Amino acid sequence: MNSYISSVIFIFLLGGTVFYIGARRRLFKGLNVHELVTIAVFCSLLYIAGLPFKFGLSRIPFIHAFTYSIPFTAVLFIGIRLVPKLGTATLIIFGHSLLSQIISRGINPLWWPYALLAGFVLELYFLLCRSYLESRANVLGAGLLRGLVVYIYFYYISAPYIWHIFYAPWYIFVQTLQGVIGSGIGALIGFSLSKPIISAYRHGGL
Amino acid sequence: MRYISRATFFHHLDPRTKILMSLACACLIVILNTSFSLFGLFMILLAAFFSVKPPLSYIKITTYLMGMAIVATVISQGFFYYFEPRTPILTILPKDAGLIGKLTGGISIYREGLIYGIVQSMRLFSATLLSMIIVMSTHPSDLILGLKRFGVPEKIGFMLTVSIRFLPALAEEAKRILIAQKLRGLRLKGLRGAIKGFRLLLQPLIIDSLRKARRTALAAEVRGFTGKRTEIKNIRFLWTDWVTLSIVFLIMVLAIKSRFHL
Repeated sequence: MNSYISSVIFIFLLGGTVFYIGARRRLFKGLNVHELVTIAVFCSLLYIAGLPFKFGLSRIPFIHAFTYSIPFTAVLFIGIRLVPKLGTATLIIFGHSLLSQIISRGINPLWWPYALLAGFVLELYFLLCRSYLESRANVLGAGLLRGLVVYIYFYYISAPYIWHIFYAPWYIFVQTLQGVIGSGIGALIGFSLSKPIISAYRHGGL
Repeated sequence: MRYISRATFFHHLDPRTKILMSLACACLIVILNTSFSLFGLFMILLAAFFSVKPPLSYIKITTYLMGMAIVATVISQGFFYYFEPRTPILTILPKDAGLIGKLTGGISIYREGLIYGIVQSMRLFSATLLSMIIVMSTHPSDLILGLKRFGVPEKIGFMLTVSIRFLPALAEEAKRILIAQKLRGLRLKGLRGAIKGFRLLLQPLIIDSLRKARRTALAAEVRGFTGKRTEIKNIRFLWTDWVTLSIVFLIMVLAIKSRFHL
């Protein structure tokens, strides 16, 4: 069986496990309309945060993994901190992926496992830590994990299978390292920016 | 690049047909492995692209994107080609050139890699053209409707609709905030400037969008929104959809047969 199909099976098993554990621990609280709209706004914000990268920063050769992962992770983590529930991370990431496919890239289900993996890994991390980005260490750990998983999956599985493009191991290492560092920085930026936003959001200041 | 209102064949197709076509084409891009078949797929999609009657600006963007794709793919595959045999035509870093040479195993451009890059860029061209055709010929709300008919949960459909509705307002607001920050003396040059600008942009932008989100959620709640929505627009399969899907299915069968020698 090829590595892509194996990875899809693994991702669905991972998702199933995450949501099974969530259901066992009674963490399924459902999302009300306000939370759903907030998640939708963060899908759009992730798209907006990526625009400077698409139109300018991507021209900087070799460091695109670093420059892209900072805004993405920062916005994502603010969203998760605002709606700290099981499924939020997956909905924001997958919603953003669907949104960009509908608006600019065209629907391609072969890329959906990539988005789902990014969400499920974070959900699993939150379940294991029993914390939704509540401390700086937890945030940093989640950021580093996101960078590691997403870039390794992209360079080892998605790109070789979907585009038939291969990368040298040293290049994958450099890009993954940048993605991990960028995600870590983005996570910390998101954490510091989210404090006043959360306080305004929770206490009706908006 | 966005939806263009035209009366072409692709515009008249049901969004579900276009979603299935995208899936089939995405699979074909993966399955096909000869330069001839990849070129054939590219030519079919190129013809389909022009049949949507794109404006000149879109043709320029597409040409630019394809130019970038071929340059990036040829260069990257020239460097990273690892199948044997491979003939180095230019060695940038020999294997024995210090620590970096040892870590990377030497950096060279391989002739077979450059050729492989040209062939593989056909896949990227096809993917680019396919996305342009779908985006130009399908209104986003129709695509969401099509996805819902395929069983995507109502709540995700609602979320996508809200996201699309918010997108132009957020982009406009982001521009306004950046202009205001620049007028107050913000400099955005370099990576540090970009990060600083991003930090200063994000907080007001999120606060403003959360205010909008609260208003939208309140409006939905007072109308008794439960997640289920009714649509004014109804989509239905016409004979053109069945014919298109049959042709796509036939091409898929032929591609799988030839790829796996069945």
